[in-house]
Amino acid sequence: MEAEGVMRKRLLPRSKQAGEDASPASRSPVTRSPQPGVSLLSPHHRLPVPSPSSSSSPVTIWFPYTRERPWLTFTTEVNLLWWLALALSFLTRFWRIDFPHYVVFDEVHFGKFASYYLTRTFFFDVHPPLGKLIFAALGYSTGFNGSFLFTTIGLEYPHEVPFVLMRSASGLAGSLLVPCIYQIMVELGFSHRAAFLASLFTILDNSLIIQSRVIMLDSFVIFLSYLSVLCYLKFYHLRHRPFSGEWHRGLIYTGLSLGTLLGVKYTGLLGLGCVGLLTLCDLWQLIADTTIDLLDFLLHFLLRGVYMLGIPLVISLILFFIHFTVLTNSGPGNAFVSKPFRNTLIGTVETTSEPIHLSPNTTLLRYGSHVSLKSTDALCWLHSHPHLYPLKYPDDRGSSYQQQVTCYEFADINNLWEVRRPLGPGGVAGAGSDSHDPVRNKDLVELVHINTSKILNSHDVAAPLTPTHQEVAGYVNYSSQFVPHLEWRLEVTGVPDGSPVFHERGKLKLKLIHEHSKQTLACTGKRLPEWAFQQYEVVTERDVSSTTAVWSLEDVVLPPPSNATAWAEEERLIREKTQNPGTGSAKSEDEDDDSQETLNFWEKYVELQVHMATAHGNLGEHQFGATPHNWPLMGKLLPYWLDEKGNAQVTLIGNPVMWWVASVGIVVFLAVTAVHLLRRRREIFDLPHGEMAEFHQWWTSGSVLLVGWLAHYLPYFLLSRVLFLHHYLPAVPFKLMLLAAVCEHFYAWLKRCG
Amino acid sequence: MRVVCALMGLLLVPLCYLTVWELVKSTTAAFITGMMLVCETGTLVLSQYILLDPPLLFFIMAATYCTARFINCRDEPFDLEWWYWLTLSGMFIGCSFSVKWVGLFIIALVGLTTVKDLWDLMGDLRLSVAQIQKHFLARAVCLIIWPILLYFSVFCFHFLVLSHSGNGDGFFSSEFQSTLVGNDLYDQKVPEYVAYGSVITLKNRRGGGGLLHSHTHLYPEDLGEYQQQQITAYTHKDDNNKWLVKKTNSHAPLPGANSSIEDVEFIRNGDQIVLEHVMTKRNLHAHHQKAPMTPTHYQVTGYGENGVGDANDIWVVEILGSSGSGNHGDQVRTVTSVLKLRHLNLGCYLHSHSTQLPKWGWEQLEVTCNPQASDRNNLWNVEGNVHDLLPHVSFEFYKPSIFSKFLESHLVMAESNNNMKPKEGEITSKPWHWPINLQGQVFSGGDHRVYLLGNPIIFWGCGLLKILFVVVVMLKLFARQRGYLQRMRNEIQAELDVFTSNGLWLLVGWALHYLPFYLMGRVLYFHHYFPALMFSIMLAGVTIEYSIRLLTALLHPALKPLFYHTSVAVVLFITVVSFLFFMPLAYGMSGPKSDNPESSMYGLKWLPDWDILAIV
Repeated sequence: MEAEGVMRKRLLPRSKQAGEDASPASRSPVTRSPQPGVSLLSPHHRLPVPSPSSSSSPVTIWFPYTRERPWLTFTTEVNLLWWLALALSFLTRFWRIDFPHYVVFDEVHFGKFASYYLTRTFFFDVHPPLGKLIFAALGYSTGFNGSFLFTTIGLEYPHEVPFVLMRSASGLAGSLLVPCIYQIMVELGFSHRAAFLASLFTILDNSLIIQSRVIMLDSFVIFLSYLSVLCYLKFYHLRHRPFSGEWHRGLIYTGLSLGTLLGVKYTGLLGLGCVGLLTLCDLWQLIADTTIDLLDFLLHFLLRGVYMLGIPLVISLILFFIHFTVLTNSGPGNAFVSKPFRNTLIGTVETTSEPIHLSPNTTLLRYGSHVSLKSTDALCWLHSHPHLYPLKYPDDRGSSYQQQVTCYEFADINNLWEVRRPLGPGGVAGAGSDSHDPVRNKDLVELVHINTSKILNSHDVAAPLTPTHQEVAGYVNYSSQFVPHLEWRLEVTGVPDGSPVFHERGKLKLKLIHEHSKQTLACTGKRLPEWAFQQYEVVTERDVSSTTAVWSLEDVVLPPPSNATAWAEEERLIREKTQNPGTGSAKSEDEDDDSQETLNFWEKYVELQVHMATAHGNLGEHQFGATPHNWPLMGKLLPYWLDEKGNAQVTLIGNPVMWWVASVGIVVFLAVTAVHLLRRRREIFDLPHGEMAEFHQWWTSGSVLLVGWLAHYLPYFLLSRVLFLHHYLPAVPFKLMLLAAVCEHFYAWLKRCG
Repeated sequence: MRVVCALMGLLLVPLCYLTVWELVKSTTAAFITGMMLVCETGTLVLSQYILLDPPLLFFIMAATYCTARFINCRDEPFDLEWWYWLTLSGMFIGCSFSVKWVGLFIIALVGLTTVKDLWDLMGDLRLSVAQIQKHFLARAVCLIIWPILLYFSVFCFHFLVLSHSGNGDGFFSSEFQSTLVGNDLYDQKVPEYVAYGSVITLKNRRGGGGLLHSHTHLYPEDLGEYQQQQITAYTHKDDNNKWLVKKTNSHAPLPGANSSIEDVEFIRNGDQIVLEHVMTKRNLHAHHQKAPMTPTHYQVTGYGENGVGDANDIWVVEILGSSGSGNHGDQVRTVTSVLKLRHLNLGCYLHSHSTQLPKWGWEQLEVTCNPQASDRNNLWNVEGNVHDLLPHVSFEFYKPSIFSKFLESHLVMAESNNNMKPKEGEITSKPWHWPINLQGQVFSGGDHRVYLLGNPIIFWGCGLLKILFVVVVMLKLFARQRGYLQRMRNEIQAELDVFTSNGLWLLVGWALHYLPFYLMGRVLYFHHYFPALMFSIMLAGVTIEYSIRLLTALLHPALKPLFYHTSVAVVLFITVVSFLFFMPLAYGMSGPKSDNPESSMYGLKWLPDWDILAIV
């Protein structure tokens, strides 16, 4: 045998040609008269390729040839079940993915965040950036500029918003989940039948389908959780070849999938915990292996730690680096971070009102100037436009039906107001009302909207969104009961009463106190509905010290002076007079340094992580919040979207049959395992040949699935924040897989009985 | 009574001693444990007063001891001694559970022990299945059925003794109250049906539900624009719970004193009524406004003046019959009719639940109008019913059975247990404070100050020894997994096994009496830790003795007795001295505060949160 084997090897180069020559013959049956000497060289012996027809019958071959694999062939195995599952999952996830054309549930958040990325506006969110970056990148690829802010649920998408593409990212992740499930079942040692069953359960679960069709992070989280489990299982099966290239690669893939998982949402920690538990069990088994000395064991331990924790950390750093690099403009996230952090952002306005220093850059603020005022809290400009407040609000309150005054985030001609002296009684301009005298602190002023000539007014009418506050409007004279109260007292802190006010762009902080009601002009930061183009609400605020009431003076435009020299002289005199007390310039420099302090990447990274970790608990109660014990039996559903015109709606609901059966399946699994264990304790073995292996497979693979389910479910009982049904979804496929496993167990049992 | 409590506290020491001896059969370990318990000031304080804790601790420890004894009888099953200890542990389980529900944890410990025991028996192939069944049944009867009977009989006794009406009445349902002597509902005092002009009280059907209540106080300003009168649910009887039933047409005359019984019109299913609060003459009202604590419900207020309100005061009576909804003509019977009150305009149902209002609502229960019709907390019944013209009938036939009384009193207990909230300014503690003895509990102030604080040396020592024990167990597991353990000498292995398995049992006992507190929503106090502390101290005693023995084994034979006895003496000395230091906490401190050098506690305020100083 052995000699022949060697001979065959030597013959190989030549036999290749022989094989090619004899190729026509290879199609005909190779049975001719017997020739014992050659029979050992039957094709079966020559080639490891299985060929069912050529059994090892001792036949003589007259024309010996090698049935060798031809050049440039490839064999392939098509697992039709696998492809069927994949096709079905794509079909269910992508069919009518464009429906509805409206903003659905949390697309409000994640769509908005994508828009913020595109406008490079700094925002704050408790979830890490990867998922949102993907949505933003998809938006960017179609040229979407981020102007649509996904303000409320049920808002119709304008045609330029690529919401279908964004949803497709979720859909893709949701579809790829199914082959993952299939492969996990195979890796756990279940049959392909069971694997297909589990995939089918996953395909047909309504909640997973719904979640794969909206711009939310959960679809990514679910997919990546299962991908990391799959990667780990693949790696685990390489345990007989430790430290080989493949082994390292397996670990790296596991680390990468865990890293991306944690880059999408921090609930991925549950996935990490699940894989971590499996790793610890594996290591515990390794301890028992006395062929591995303790140093090697330490290496096993450390390498796993480095790959599974180090890679996620690196990915997280990269993601936040991108996050900070993209988000350079200040925005709604400013309020969440510290002052040095804000200083790294462009366009930051400080809310603390510090005295403006009499630097040469400042100029006098004069009557007749056209100014724009920016809210230091909401970072938007005081705005008005020729539209009126709606006569009635949905809750039947009436409005003044006067011109809207809002706060708008973008520079606009409608942000300009003229500062002028109040008209005297009877609307008669007093003497010298058109002169450009300097504005003095605590002066009474009126603000006239340039484009519509309406005067800023406030009166005892409830504000649109905040009924406890007064409405602010551009006064329209209907000769009705609404008396104009147009006078506002301009207040600058740090400047003595009655002394002229200097300003420098963006540096002067002021408050406007409504003279009639003694309340102060403020922006609530709430977005008004469609009728006000989703701009922010402006009201008057009783609490004069509120931080929402501080405005900064931005643009100041004055008609070209007719007597420029006289103005310059006047300014010089005032400047000299006010500088006499002479506060040291050193102090001001100190303060400047203090306010200019910025953070580097690491400091920003750490600060943001702390804010993200502590912000979770601050979400209030929610109408559709559901407690974890409601989840397995689907006690409370989660409406995602309701059509305002018709009855159409999207609601998160699991496939009730499957959820309930699967919940029972868990109990059945435990019961069956308990019965097996008890009977084995009495040395009654129910499972057939290869007993240990078969029971072991049932027990370990089943427990992996059970532990996976528990690891994604139990921790929520400890969280005190408001929870929703969709938090349960990462646990669901584990449950479905366990159900498939139980089904297979009973199928095998029935087959043995029958 | 203090003497009995002290006796029970005293008996803890021998019980701990005996339990440790049963477990590890070492007099030294048992003695150390006993001494540590003697010197533990916290336990001392607890057992000096008439509290539930001394009997509870006693029963828990007795159950522990009996279980340990029972397990040691395993070689001779079904003989007299075996039955004796099994029955006794069942009895003490029942007793401890009857004292406080914390007794549930000892049941868990004994249950786990029994399951483990049965598992071992299962593996013993010499025993037939019938024998194992016998084992199982014996345990089921003695550890499950027997304690339940005991518990149930304690409750029957409770109902027998407390047959008179008292201040706990309001917590219970109207049916329950009708069995209490002296209650308004006891013996024919109430008209059978409710009619227009009746003055009624309305009771929420939820276990522990309150009576519909109102008072002259208004809802606070920041809850919305309407500042109207508060409506709450109140568990105590009060004149403010009385409501007058009126017709929707407020001008329709009610039958006066000189009308005859023919004028009386009964309320029927589907009638529209107005409920006027008798004391303040305001009507029960609901409107389109968020409820104070439950934003998904509507607010319910008292509205109107002298009984004149608006259309939002109208409620529709819906009687629930046996089939879910009653017939149209049904009349409202006192106590037995189950009602829902639907607000005519909003379509929501009068609702009350266990959410408490804050201080402005006197911490009474919130009453709202619930848009969800099928909520179980929307159910009410008429409890009090006064009408001048109607004859009074007997309530005899409403009497609930002992079982439903038993069930109901448990619902009420569970409810109030979960709702225990800290009183204003009260010091509450978190479970993680306890093992490190972070802060104590003031028992008595004034001249003779008593402060519940564990002996810090013992508390911290127990904590360290617990960590040491866990480390030893982990090392042992590692050694076994790696195969080192199997190479050791047999007697060392056996000793280690005795130590770890019994220590583990005690550790599980400690964990079962401690960890569940993390999941509890109610207010917790330091004294909740003491059952766990018993296990902790026993574990400490066992661990100290074993470590001393282990160290001794390493020494030269000549030094062995000397070292062993010295170490034991040192441990005992430290224990006793620490007790002498902290003794005044228990026996009462008088005189200057602890920052004063003349004080008996000078220099002993080791942690900032110990309130030794604060008491004047």
